[in-house]
Amino acid sequence: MGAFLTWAPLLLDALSFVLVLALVALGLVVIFGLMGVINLAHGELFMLGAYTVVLAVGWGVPFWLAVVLAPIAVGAVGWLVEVLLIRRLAARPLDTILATWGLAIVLQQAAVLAFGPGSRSVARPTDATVTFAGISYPAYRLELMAIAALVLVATMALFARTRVGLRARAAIADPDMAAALGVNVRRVRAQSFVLGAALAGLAGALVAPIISVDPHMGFGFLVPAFLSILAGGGVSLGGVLGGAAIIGGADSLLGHWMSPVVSQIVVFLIAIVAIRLRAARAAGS
Amino acid sequence: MLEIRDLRAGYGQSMVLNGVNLDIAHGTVTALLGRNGMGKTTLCRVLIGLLPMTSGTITLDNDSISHMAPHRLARRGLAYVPQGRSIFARFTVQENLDLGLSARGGRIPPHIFEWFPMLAELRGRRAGTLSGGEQQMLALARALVAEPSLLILDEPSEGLQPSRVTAIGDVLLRIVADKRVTVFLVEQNLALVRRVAAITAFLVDGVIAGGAAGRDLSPQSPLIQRYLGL
Amino acid sequence: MRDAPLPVALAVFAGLGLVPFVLGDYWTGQLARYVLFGLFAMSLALVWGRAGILCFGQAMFFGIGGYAMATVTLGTFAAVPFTAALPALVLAVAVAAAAALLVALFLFWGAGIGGAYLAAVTLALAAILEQAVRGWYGLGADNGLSGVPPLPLGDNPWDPRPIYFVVLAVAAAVYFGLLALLESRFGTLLTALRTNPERLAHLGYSVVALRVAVFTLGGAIAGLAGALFVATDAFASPSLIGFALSAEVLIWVALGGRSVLLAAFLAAILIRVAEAYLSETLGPWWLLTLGTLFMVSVAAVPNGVLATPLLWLQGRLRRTS
Repeated sequence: MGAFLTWAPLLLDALSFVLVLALVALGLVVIFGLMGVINLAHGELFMLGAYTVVLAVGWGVPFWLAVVLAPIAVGAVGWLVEVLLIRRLAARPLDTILATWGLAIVLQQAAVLAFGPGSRSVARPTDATVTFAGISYPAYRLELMAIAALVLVATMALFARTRVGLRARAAIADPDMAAALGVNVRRVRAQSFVLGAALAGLAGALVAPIISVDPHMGFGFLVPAFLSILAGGGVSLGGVLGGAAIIGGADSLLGHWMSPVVSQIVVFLIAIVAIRLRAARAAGS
Repeated sequence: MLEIRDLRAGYGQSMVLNGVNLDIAHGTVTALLGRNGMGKTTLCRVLIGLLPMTSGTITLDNDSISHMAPHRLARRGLAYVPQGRSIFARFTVQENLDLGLSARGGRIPPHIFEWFPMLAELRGRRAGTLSGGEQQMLALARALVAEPSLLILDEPSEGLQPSRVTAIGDVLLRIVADKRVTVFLVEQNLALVRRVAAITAFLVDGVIAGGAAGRDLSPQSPLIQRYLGL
Repeated sequence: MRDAPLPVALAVFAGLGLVPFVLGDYWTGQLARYVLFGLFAMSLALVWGRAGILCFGQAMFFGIGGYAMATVTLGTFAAVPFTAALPALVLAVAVAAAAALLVALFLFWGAGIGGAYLAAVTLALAAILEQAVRGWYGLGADNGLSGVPPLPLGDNPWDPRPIYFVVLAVAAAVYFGLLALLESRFGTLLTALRTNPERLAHLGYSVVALRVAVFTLGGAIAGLAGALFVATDAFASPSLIGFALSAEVLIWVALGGRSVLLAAFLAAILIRVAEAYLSETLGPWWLLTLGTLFMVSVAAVPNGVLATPLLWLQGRLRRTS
């Protein structure tokens, strides 16, 4: 019982990290799967989502409305980025890694200039805790987990069950044939980038009350999200959850046994081995 | 309905089509015969907008469609069954058919299952698990669900047993008769062409080298000897 | 695939040789560091631009060379029986090359990995190495190793001019050495490796061996640059080994021109000079400008801002001759 009381909050913390990471990674994977684009500016889109909430709440907008506004605002930024930058690199997918890395630097510095280099915070919408089986846990974190899980399931259902999702999957599988059947492949790609950006914005908005918001916060999420999707297999939506569970779970749980340095190293090693094995198997099949 | 004038196209520096001129009349089956490497598939890809042309014009019902994107051409009523079929192997039969609706939306017209009765039973199956003949029927059905005005077929008989080729011929004759769909059939299979095509053109080295009424083609005719080397 | 026109390359190195006679000691010393960053950039241009291996962790080898140089000359590890600069330099290059060989074997062995996967794995490896160094007290952890002895050149070892000339001579020797190598059959094989590896394998060449060879060579050059840098700067810090410098060198090489060694070399120097002059006055605007330039050049001038005119000139010179 004592062990349960100690471990349950830790596991819940790990789960909430995994779900947020999965949300960030899902945005990355939508963009990677549909466009072959590794979006290294994804962490900055996440950061913009968090700042949207900080600013909006500062202007007196209710918290939950700000959470709804964030993906819309970040999705709009994503649309601009797709039209102005990504579309021009359609024939050179590897170069999008570099271009989006440049974009990441630009967005980071723009945030430093606009909001200052220091960290900001936003109050949680509720300080209530929920007590169950002897454990009390912050209610906001539970709400965050529920929303993240809901959005993950909804996005997967969008791809698996709807006609729009079917066209998007066709555009991944065989863009030429999809186009010949009447799918506007370019528009599908633009939409997927906007959706991916909006997911990053939503993730940023949701974590804004529980972490400190600063211009460099994106990188800390980008790297594990990036490793999650590659370790999880690149394009499958189910793989995202698996990858995020391995990377995020290891990251937040190992910290309790070993120093943060060692746990980081272990997480990265797990990711590298997973990516190497998966890539070798993909090439072999 | 479709007029191709002085069409030139190719890949990079090497030209494959060197000035193709061809008319396809409403409600007919027009066939194009040619050996491998003569530019048949290149012509199909240009017509459906997947390969940009270097010069020339294509008009559909008196409107120029020369540089239209493939999805717009699909919405204008062009449908395409490529060589090798290109069905989505990991999707179900139903999903493949639904994708055919991308060009116009709506529902799958009931006559599709009259033309392809076996697909009704296979709807839940993964397309990749179907036999070659079934996959070809699926590719045809998928092209027809959008009720196109012009159907472009690139070697539908390739790799199929003679009985399956006969079945494809039956379907083609039926859809032309039922719905007045115009068909442009690119083939090497002389028997299929003789059976279904009203007019046949020959593609040699990227130009149209001659034509004949479909039923006049016998394997002994000098045209066949000259252009197909049979 | 040619590099910059030979007269331009000669003029660049000759011009750099004249700089100490124009600038004061401080800038000569700074420029020696920038030339070493240029040498480092060349190593990435070789691996990425010429062989098509997009490595996101090239600073691993720069940092390994640097830390090897620092620990040997400082006598940090009793197991190494000497502290003299020259054998230390040789050992540093060898250790960096060995590390690159190990990484290359891990990356390319068997079916190997490429593209985004390779970028991710090299990025993660660089991050691991940086974390390890930051946590390793024997290597000074976050503080790094200071007081690294300078190269023994003349009576006053801190006179920046002899250091500068040695560093420039090394960079020139590596550049012209690589040029000769790239003109040989190895260069032809590298071009084939980048553009059409399947064909190369079909002709009976080992794609794995070629990739491993060029990656190891790139690692050795980066290690050489890092070792000389640490001796020049008298300081080995964890920032030399991790992701940040790896990303920076990628920006220099992409902006200059990934496939032209001279363009990568010059871009590193020019960007560092600009940074030295501008980063104080511009503050965050400097990085914003650099990031924008980088992004725009990748989209609009994929061959690089410096390499594009150099290659154009190369083409003209060949047509007229």
